[in-house]
Amino acid sequence: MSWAAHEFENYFLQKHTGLKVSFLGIVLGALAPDLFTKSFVYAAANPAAFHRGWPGVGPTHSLIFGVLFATIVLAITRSRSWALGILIGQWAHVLTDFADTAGTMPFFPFSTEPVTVSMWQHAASQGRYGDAAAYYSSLGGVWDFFWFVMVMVFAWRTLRRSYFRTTVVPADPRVWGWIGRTFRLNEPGLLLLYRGFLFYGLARMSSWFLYARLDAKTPFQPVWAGPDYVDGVDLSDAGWQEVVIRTSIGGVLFFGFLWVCWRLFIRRLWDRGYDPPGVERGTGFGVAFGE
Amino acid sequence: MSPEPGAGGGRDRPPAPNEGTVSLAAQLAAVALLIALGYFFKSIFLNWLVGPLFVLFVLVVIPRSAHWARVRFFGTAPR
Repeated sequence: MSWAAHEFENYFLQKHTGLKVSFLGIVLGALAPDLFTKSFVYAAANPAAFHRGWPGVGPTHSLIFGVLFATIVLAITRSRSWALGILIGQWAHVLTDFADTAGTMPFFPFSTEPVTVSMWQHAASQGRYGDAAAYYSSLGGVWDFFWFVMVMVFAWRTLRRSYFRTTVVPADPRVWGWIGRTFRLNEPGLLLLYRGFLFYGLARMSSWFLYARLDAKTPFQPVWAGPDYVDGVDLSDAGWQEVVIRTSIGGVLFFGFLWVCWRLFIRRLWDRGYDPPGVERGTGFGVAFGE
Repeated sequence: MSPEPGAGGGRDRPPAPNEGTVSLAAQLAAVALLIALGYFFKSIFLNWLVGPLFVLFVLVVIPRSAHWARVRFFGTAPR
């Protein structure tokens, strides 16, 4: 699993979605897979299988969960910006979690084959503290730092007050306005709330890294599939060819299912949805990305 | 008939920009405090619930609440 990367990625996505997607929607989407499940993962008999497999809560880390969540939000709120934000945030979480040894089932239920590149060990079996120490002793911690650097180098403008005022708020004026009025926050307060996930990610990455080095004293092994003191996790005994074939079939069925759902009811929900004032959507990826 | 959503009605009104900023130094100090608290306490409350809101709490909500309490109970004028 990834830790602070899920916070940092949101700002990078924000840079590419601009006015077209709600930042708060992206945040909620990125949090959704772990929001109601993470606490139970550490108590499970087989944490990795429970977290990412089926039976278990693995479907929360599948693309269809994002589609379902976004569709429900679109039906209830009619906000296209929020629906797209949740979809993009949740899909980013699924794609990011490919990188640990447990992987994710992107095309569940059409394929229950976990897809992984095994960059670092899924170490939930070590308990919460042990998981953190293992993650920040592996390439996982480097992955977090990579996304922090990506934000600070390529998306630093998204952190500016002027960007918040001209892009983030106009993309979602109703919710930012509601937060401001309800909690009596002026613009500096809302700006801190917006930046909060970056600060949180930075603090989380730093404090757990310090914990791993100074307290747990786990060996720092930023090598592929590290750290080696954690027992390997493999949720499938399939070879890579079998994974490719099953995942390809699952992908075709998933996107076919998505097309049928679009034709049957999602398009109708989309058509009756609304955009914030001044937002003009393009076609294809231009619906959510680009200015 | 309800007004068209997103058409610029009252509910879509963005928050008014007010004066005042929070300095970068104060923000960095709050992050350093969060790192220290995270290192020593590691509670779920601190991590999952307060974590993303920590800077807002420390730099805005708590000082403002303390200010209101001081005015209300002690009658101290704002600085």
